Amino acid sequence: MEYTVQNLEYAVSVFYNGEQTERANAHAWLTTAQRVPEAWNFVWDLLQPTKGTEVQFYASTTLHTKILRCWNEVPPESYEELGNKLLQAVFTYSNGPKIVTNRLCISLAAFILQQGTVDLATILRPLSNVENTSLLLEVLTVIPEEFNSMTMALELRTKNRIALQQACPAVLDDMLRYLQTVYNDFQEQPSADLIQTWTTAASCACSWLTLDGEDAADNVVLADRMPLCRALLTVVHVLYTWNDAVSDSSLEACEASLAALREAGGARHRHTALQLLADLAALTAPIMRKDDVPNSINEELLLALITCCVALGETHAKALVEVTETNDASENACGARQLLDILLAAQAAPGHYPVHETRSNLVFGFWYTLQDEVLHIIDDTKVIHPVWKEVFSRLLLALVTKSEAAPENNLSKDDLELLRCYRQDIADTVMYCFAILGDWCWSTVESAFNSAETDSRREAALHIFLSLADAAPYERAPDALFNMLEHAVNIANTSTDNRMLNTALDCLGGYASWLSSVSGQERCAALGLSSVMAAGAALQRCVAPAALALRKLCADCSAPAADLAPDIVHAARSTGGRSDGWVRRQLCGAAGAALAAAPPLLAAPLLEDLARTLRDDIAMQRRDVNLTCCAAECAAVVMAALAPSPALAAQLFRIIAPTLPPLAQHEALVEYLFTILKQTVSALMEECVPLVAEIAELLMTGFTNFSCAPGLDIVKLLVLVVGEWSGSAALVSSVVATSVQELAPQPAARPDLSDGLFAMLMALTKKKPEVLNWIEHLLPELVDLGGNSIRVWAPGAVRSVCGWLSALCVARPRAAHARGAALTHALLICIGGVMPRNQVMPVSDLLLSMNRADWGEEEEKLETWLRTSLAPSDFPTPHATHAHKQKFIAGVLRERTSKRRILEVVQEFSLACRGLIGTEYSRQAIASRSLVS
Amino acid sequence: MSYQLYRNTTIGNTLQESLDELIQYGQITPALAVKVLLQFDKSINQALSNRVKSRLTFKAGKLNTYRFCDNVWTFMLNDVEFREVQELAKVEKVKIVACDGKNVDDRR
Repeated sequence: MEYTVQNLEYAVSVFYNGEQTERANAHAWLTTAQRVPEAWNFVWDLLQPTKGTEVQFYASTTLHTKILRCWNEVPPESYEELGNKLLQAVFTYSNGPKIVTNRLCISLAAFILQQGTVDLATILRPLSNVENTSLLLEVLTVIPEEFNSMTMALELRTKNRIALQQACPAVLDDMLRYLQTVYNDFQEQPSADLIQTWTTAASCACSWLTLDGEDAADNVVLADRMPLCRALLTVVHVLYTWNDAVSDSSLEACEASLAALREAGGARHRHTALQLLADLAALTAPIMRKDDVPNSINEELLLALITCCVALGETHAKALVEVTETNDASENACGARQLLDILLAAQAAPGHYPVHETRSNLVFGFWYTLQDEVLHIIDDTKVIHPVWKEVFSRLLLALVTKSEAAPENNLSKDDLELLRCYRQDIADTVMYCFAILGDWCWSTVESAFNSAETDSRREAALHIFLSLADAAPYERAPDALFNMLEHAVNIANTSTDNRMLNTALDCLGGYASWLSSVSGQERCAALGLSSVMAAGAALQRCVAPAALALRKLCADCSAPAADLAPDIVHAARSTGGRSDGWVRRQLCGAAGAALAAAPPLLAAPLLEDLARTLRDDIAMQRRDVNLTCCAAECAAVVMAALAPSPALAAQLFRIIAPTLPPLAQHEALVEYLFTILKQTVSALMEECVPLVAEIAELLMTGFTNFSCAPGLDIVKLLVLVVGEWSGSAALVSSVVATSVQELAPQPAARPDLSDGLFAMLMALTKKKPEVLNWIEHLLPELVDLGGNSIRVWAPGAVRSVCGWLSALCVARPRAAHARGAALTHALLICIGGVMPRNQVMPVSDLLLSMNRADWGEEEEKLETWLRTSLAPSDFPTPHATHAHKQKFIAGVLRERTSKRRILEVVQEFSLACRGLIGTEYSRQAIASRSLVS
Repeated sequence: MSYQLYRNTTIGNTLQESLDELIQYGQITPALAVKVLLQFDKSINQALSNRVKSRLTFKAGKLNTYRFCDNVWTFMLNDVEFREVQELAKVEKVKIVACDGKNVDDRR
């Protein structure tokens, strides 16, 4: 279809109003039309005021696209004509439609930037009269935005950056001139036009201040910007004075002013920064006094103010800390203290988060910066100034208050999740308080708990106490900490409130390791015992958190766990304790730890009971597979917990062993069998020798029926722990043969099994090289399988295969040598493109091992294999030239020690094979890897 | 410029593989691929900074190694327990690479 005005108008109409297929076609056609040279002409026809808004919008967007993408179609002698036409269009649409005006302003900005911003003032002069102020401000606002988003050559970008930075002071002066009207003596509310001008001027200033990121801020001093900053602050002051509820256009002006202030205030100069902070505090304080209430009508203004206070406070944290410590009565010192008061008040915003307020969520980051700066300063003096003890004590009390949750029936599911994240932020901030206050935190929390008048406040204090758990002093028991834990125990014993109980139980679990460290003190030992009892008693009321607390306590506090072992085992065997899989695993973990801590004579009969219950449940597989899975997992958990007492672990295995063979016949259960066996071997270690035949038989049967990686993992563990026994060679040989049989037809089908097989072989070859004798007959097949597996993109499997082949080059070079040519060929195919570039590290390691291997008297070595494989001209790819190949071969053969250097050689060749060598893209791709490696 | 460490994630690696192929088949130029990579850096930094709201806690049995180099912290942790509400996950080894999260858009 021809690109006529009629056709274009018709297509635009179809795009907005047609059926889905027609719209897609119209979109494709209109997009193509934007790129054709005729577009330079038809846009002006479509921009006629008589056309519809949709057509005008398409035309203005097309104009922008043409300037961005097809600038080379404009001859330099036509620049002036194009500029005039653009300006004329901007004038024509000065009264809207807004979307068209905006597009045309952006097009004008792009036009200016495409010419390197030469003579900005001349181009914009026609806009510099009073009637066109809003147009001028709009064009000026979008110029830096367009500069940041436009794609342009480096040279042009540099030219534009220099020109814009030179123009910046003049533009900011102009904005200040527009903002001077804020100092008028207003007898009534400022007019809508005036507010709009302030908004636009502030947005424009913000846009220019963000020009080129933070580098620009380093080149200016704040004093130069103070008049602008004060004008911006005055905008907020004036609008707040005339509006009880700042909303709509006034709010927009305030937000734009504060956003600009955040950018302007980032510049250097300590003294002026403090003045700015004082001015900001003076503006904010009365607003906070009046509007810092739940569901504030000025919540959005408060959000903007606090965001600004936080941003400038963080930027000038060092100056803020230094002046606060001076204790003088200067304006700056008073301003700094006032700012801290404001931020503390913002943190303690009245009402519940997130129901009544959201602003308290903005301040958390500031406290981190502040404590970091305070601690940085005391690095020299070793003494924290008392003022910070006061500030952080107040903060800690504020956090107790804010940690209090609204009643659950007032919270939606989303609110609950927001609150959970918020309390996590509070917990992090509590640790910053601890960095300043130390043990004093527990005293503060205890006072808050004791003075609380409601359960929800007590729960909040407990939450803060829980947040301090990781900081509890080792082998020392401050009274406040001890008392708070006692409160938690009492609550766990008596409360029926779910949230309160949950937090109290978390406290018991959280302080378990501390309890263990102070168990030598009599009163602490008693507290440990009562903690375990309380967690057990709470199982009826709040089962999941109680079970978790019990597991943690039993794992850490052996003495009380041992004393209460009968009760804990009883809980693990009870109907309630077995109702939920997760709870049951926690309780079994607790029971195992308690039994391991108990005297053998007491533990043995209790374990017998627990093991019989597990055995009976495992045996249920024909009727209830889920119960069997859960019981098998629990058996593994108990086994792991019994590791300190191998005799008990052996006893457990002997009791459940009769039920295990059927698991080896069931695909859904075999992995659970392997989990039990792995935990058994891990728990018994060398003492599993008497059971090794039984374990090996179960393993071999299960693996033969359903080969999977966890089975190979246990074989590895068993051989490493026990070494050689009568059936060891048969076991290893059997699982390897089964795996090879499974993998050989399709190495890509089971990457997990491939990974497991070669990971096992790598560990055994390195640590027990005699194992290779047991699988001597399988080595050729294994090396072939390894070569084939490398070509499959499965990162874990490739690492394991290369790791094993590298180990084989050392332990049994002849076995590797027989397949050396094929292996080298496979590696080159991978480097050439079959394998992702970022997976080449294991391959380069293998090449290094092959280069270092002692091949004995063999004539063929890596050099021969490399040269033979690389001889064909288009191998590995047509991109790899003879020179590339020679450089690669020389690089590989030269390197016999450094993994890093050979990796660089391989990476370079890999890029050469892909035709990417020498590009910025390849440099970027290599550079980014170095950051995290 | 944004942090580039997310290029070494599964999604970043996969993107680079796709770009490699597109370049090799002549569908895009290496210069465009660089732009895509830079846009990826910007977008993933912004998305992780602004859109991820989930929180979890973790505790390590042992801090094996730590280093602070070029404003990047690296921690190697052993026996790590992650917890999100009541969901628990145990991992034997964890490597944490941590960059300064402030002004994520402006820093490299």
